[in-house]
Amino acid sequence: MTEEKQSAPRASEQTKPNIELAARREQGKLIKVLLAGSALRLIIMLLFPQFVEQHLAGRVELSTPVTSYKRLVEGLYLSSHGVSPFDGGVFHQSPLLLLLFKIPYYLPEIVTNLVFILADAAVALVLAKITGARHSLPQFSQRAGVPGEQAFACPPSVVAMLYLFNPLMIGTTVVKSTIVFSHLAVVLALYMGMHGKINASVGWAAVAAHLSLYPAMLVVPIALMAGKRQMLRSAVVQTVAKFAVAVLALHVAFTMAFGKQYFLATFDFTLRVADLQPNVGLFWYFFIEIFDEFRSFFFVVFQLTALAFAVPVSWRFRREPVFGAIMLVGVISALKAYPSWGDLALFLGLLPVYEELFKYLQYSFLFGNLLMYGIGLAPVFWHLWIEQGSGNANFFYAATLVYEFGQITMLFDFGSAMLRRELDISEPETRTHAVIQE
Amino acid sequence: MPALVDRIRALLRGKGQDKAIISVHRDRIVVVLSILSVFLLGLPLWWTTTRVYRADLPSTEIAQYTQADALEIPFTFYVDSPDISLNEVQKLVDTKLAKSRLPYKPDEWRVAFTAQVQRGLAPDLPGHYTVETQEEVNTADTSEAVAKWIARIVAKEEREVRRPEGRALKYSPEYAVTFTLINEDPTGGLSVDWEIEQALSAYLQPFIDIVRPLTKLSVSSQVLHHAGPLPVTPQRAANYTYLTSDALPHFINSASWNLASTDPVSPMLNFILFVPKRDLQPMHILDDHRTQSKTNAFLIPQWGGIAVANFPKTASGQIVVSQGDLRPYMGVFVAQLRELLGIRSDTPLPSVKGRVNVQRATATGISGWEYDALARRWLANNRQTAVTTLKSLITLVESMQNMVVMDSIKGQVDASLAALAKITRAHVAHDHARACQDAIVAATKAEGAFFDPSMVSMLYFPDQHKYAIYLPFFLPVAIPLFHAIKHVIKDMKARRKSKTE
Repeated sequence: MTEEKQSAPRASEQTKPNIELAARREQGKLIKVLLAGSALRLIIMLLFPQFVEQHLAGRVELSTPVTSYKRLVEGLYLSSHGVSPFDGGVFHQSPLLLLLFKIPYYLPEIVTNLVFILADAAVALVLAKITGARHSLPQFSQRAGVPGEQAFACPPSVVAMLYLFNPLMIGTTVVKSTIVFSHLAVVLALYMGMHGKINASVGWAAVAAHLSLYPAMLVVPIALMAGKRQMLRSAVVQTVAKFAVAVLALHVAFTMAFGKQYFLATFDFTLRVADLQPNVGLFWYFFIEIFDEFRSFFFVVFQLTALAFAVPVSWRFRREPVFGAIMLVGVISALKAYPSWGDLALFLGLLPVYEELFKYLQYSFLFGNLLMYGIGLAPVFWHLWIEQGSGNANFFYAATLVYEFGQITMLFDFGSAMLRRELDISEPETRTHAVIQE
Repeated sequence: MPALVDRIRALLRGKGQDKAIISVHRDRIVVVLSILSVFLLGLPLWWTTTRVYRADLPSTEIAQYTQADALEIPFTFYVDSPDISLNEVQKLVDTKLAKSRLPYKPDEWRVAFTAQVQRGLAPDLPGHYTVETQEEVNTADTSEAVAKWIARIVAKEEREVRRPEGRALKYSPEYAVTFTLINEDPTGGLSVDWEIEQALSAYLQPFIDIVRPLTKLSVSSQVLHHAGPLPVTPQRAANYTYLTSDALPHFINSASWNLASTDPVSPMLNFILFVPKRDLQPMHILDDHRTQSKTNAFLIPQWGGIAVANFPKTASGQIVVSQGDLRPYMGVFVAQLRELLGIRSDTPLPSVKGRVNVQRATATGISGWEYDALARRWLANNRQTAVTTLKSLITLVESMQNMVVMDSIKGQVDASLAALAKITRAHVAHDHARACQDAIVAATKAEGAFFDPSMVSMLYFPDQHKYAIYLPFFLPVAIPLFHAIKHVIKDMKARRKSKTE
């Protein structure tokens, strides 16, 4: 996950034809990476379907009640027979997905597989484009370097490759978890925001908020991105207003189509953590053991904990709103109600965009190990608990705790790395000193 | 920013080349404030989500009922003779009653029996009685005699109602009455059966019908063969066996005899007809004076009654106790049932010779006066039960602020209070049995509210639980927050100081 490929060109002295050649070569590499990633997923889906079906499709770490493909099929079946898809309490995903899969539902299975693979490839493509924009757009490359730093930039094809060949993401796509579409909406929102197309960015953020609730927090960094081109206060107000309008428009449209059931089955379901199926998060264990009278209090507390990071994190990194958004993606992955390994995969895919921070990391060995232990032990303990019966829920929950601890460590390590970098850029004298914040 | 740079440069020039100390005021203030605002947003949500639903109970109305507030039960006596002065009789009755009333104990719920005298004929309602005078005497003497009788009757009724219950069960809207025929040992050649249904419908059903407005008696019967041995060994005499009165408490073999009730709620009254083993027959019961009991039966207070029956051996070895044979035993059982319900046999004034004829109801087993007396007793008891239960409910609900009080409980309390409010002096005077029914409703609803299972959920919720619920999450969250707030305050103080300098 944290491998680094040293194949970037030096950015110090380049002649024009060299730049164009390098750019074209880069593009070629990107296309090859996208094709290779898609081909890998296609091969796994076509050649090992029973392996996928038996060992991966039912994994709780990869699919959750709000992203499961089986439940999507159930919703499609019900809606194709004229029944409301939210009847029966199985389908908890957004009607946007029903719209997307209306036609592929009647076509052979390969078409659905290709839709997921294409979505994944699109995410990788947009990630590459974000990296490219970061290195080329004027407002970002102004603060590009610390004096004396070797300009080492992660090329877009490498970013796409790190995302596509991440085993967590391969597993998520092969299982056809619908979190892929949420990822697509999130990265598109970021990309549009970087280019200043705030309306499109807000629209994609509203779509992401409808698909999975938590990307609504991204409206704050998007507002700060808008604030780079106009007055901050008016930018914030306008962006938030646009976002609210977009979300409400979708909400009203779906409520008219499906009635009150729609809200109860999607947003309300996520907010009050209605299904306590074990996953790689912390909510299920906690909510099983508390008193019933305090259940509503605690889901309010837990959701507010995730929400509380939106403004402080974005504000602190307001000079780099893209990084603020990436931090929020990490916060979402750690603190959302029904997390899965796919959320971590997006966070890990976004981090190489800020590859210059990697040298500031202090705890990389620690969180690398924590994540590997958490990810590796979770299936083992699940097998011990559920299939073999010689373990209990505490085993699986311990692996989950380790995984969570790794994510939190990663978050604050990257956060302090960014802070240190900002200080190094603004106060070069401190670069050789250890900094104490009082 | 310039101040910051100067500070850093000053520090760098000073001691220690390796450390640089920075402080970031504005960002920190915004961050801390935004997290605090999330806390503030959470406070009303905390309040609404942990609020316990408590319906408003009418505690002021319940507090109006005090022990000193006596329940007055007025008798109405109708005098038909024109030459008896009503005022005189009334005055005499009032003074005599007031004099003969026993003093109230300090924690007793007061019940006061009064009498009012009217002219005419009594209507057919409980509590209204006609006084017929048959001798022509001096009117003054007649008035005084009538007043004396009335006062003695009413005073006795009051004494009996105020006396605590001994043998009778507490009032219940339904009793499960079970008749059991126990054949101790069928192997000795004795198989017993009885025509219980006919006997019950002939001898017990009229009684049940009469008390139906006040309580419901559900009757069931069973026959137990091979029930198990007697726990006590009867002693042998010449040609019979006998049990003395001190052996009677151990008579019941609760372990082997299946006397369990099918109804979990109603109290059970068991009546057992016991047929002893062949070689123990005939078995007699000796009372305290060592004479044979006439009925061969005994009563267990608050439980039931037992009669021992001796049947001679028949040729076929099979005995069917006919309805006629059951008649004396049913008579015993009805008498025991009366005692267990609290019907007094000494009403009114049997100790007075000659002047008062007491009519016994041999057809139904309960006479009109006895029914009225039962209604009066149950009126006083149920009213007391209702008021004390409501007061306990209020005390309980107010002492535990965590307890949930559902709307259904409020509904039951309101219904109970409404029924209690109906028991006014005029209402009681009009019909003792109707007032008793209102008191029964009040008591049943009050007990239903008090023992409602929904209230148990937060019954045990000590304050320590609150620590266990809130601290594990909020203490680790609060520590860095307080640290940051402390720094912000220190920063602001330092800035203000540096501004003024």
